Amino acid sequence: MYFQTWTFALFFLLFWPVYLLVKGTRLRIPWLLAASYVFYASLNPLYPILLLYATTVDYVAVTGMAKTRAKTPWLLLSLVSSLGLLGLFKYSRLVVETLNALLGQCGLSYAIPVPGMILPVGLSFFLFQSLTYTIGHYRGEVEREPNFLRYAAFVAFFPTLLMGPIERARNLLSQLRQPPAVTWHDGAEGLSLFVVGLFKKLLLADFLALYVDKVYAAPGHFGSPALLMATFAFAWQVYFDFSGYTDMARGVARAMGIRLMLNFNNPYLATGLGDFWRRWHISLSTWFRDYLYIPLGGNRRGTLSTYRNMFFTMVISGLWHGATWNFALWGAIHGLGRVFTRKLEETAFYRDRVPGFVKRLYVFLFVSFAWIFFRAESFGDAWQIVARIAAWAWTDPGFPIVLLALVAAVWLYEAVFECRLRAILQPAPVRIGFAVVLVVCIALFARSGVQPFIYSQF
Amino acid sequence: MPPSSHPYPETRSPAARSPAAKPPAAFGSNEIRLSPRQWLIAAAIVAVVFAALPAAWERIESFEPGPDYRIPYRLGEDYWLYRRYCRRVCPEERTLVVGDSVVWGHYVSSHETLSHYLNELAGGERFANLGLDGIHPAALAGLLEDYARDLSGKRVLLVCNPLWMSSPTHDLQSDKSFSFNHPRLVPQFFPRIPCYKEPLANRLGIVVERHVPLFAWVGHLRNAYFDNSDFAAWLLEHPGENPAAAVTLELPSPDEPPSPPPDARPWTVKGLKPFNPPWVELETSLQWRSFCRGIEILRGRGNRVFVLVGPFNEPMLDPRSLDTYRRRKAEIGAWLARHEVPHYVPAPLASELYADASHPLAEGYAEIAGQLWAEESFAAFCRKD
Repeated sequence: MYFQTWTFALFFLLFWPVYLLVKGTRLRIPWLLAASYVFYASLNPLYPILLLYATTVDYVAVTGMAKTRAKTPWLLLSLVSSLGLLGLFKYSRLVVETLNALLGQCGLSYAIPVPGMILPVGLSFFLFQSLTYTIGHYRGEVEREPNFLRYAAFVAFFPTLLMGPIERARNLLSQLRQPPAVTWHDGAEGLSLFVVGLFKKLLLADFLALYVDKVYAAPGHFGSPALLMATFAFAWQVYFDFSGYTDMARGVARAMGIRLMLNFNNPYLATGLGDFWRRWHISLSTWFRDYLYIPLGGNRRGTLSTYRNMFFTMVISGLWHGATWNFALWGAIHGLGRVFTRKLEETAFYRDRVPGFVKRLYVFLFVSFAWIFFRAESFGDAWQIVARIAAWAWTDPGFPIVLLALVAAVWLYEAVFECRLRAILQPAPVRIGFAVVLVVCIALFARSGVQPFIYSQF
Repeated sequence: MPPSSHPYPETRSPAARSPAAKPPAAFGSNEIRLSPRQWLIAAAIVAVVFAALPAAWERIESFEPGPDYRIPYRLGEDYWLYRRYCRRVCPEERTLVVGDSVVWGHYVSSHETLSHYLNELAGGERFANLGLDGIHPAALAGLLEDYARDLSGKRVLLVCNPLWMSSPTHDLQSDKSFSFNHPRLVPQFFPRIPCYKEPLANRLGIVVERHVPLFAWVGHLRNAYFDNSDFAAWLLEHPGENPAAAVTLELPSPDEPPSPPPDARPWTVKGLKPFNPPWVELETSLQWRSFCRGIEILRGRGNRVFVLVGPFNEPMLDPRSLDTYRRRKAEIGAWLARHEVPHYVPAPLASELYADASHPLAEGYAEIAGQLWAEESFAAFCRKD
């Protein structure tokens, strides 16, 4: 079940009152754990088996680490298990298809059977969340959790289970160790986050998806303006879709007295590519920074090494999103972008002389260009889209003006939020007014049916 | 965002000051952050808007149903309009004719329906056509329960079309999923409908829609002005258009023909062949149980109910099936008599007065109306206060 469904509303209405009743007792963790497993099983009754397996292995690994001075084998166990699961479910198809293509290139007629496994929803997220515990403990940053149920509740914590934010054990697990003091303010703020997320998903992302899906399904049938608009629309769609989910997840957790990290911070107001990655999918960006970029050497071993690490991290980050070479290319484009603009963005000229809107426009255009490779069905489609946009010829894009106005209004709101005019958004009547408008708009204009989240496929 | 710069900084929460203080976390990347009291105010405003919009709309959108009005075919799933029509006819001293496309008049104009001919015989506006095209008993019970509350205490002529019990498929008992009419009106959970495989989330949404008039009103807007599609899909189809301009405030005519337009010729001329439906047992029939529930709902609200069983085009039945049909008809009559529901089973019409198995043509309606009008129990039903 997803947050925007009535099923979830019913689930939470059953879960939350009991949670509030038992939050100060020993039943809190078992109740949270049971609810999380039910939540996950609602998508597929077999999924919890995988979740339980990953939880058990990592728990045993850390227990093993705590009992011996030779911690590395236990860490390797956790890494091999987690990355093995990812490899099996997510990358085996890519590997086999690539091998088959190579065999074909070599003139061999033999083809390895392509595995037909379906990627369980949330696998990449909860495995990475669990790894923050094993790696954290290995590094001495996280204490061993003696209670298996509590650790299982951390891995399966239903607000973050499907699409993050990928929480750190030191943040979430430590909150689960203490009975939360859930106040009325937590409930109200949780609701605030949830409503904003719901609006982003149901009113913005799902609306934009209609146009994007139509154009990207058959890019050869559309002219440059439509392809360009669809690319910009996708940039906003993916942002609203994923940040909407995150807002809802954070809201649900907040209503339970748990504070999750900020995952998106108005990324399309970024003034540089580095800034963009500090605002976009922050929990994943910082995960890769902490557990890949820095262990590779980070920026400690000279400029060339820094650029190599940066590029490599971005490519891996791309592959994390999806097991196709499109995603690797998307990561590589961002990697190259970072490599080429890092020094520029550090210059006084760029910082002080280039107008803010120019910087924001350049970031948005660059990021949108990269999204082509992320969204296109195949390499071929991506190149076709780029080529058709480049060979500019005017045709009516057929983009709904109302939608354009809606996106512009959100962008304007975010711009005001980040500038000196922010004070005008703060008076209570303004905030109440916005909340009312969001709720009424959701009720009036939301699309019928449940549209899946883009990131649920990762 | 630095927490301290916000009007509701993290430290305001008592929890933040407790020994089990939560780690600092930025709230969000917008200012839509309401306190409990502010949410109460927002909820009150939302509640007023939810209640006021549909009510205000009734004043804005003109709706003047004439004596032969019926819900336009295109708005057949517009239950908000149905409710509005119920409310409109409620204060009048009219008998409400409720049922499926036989009542609605699938092959005829609004001036050739059963209610029209009954009005002619009664010499005034005494009957109103509250039929809906395609509404089978399982949906009819839902319609009566959720959208026809305003009919309480009125006289209701309920038409029972045995066609809905003619096969397990019509009776919705097939285990194989298939799409049927008016799924939003059937019971979403109990009793279970084997062929109805809607996901849980959608079923819950339907239940919510039945209880929040705003959602039904949104459905009305979509049906009446946005090509029966949701707002986003309509925008995509009409990219340069102003959606407000699409709201013309003009509802379709009740005589707008169904789509595709029905062939209003006798079934014999159209080349239809007699058929041999298997018929389901009355005691196991979901549609029959639903029909009984419909009667129960109406009587529970103080309605006086008269049931018209049929009409049905008996010559269109294969002789093997005809016997079974007659048994069912007798069982239905017996059940109604046992439960003291006044009813009438019309004598079979000439076969050429039917367009298909159950829909009469204009002449057929006139004849049934005549039979009914001459029936003593119906006259007594109409006389009662």
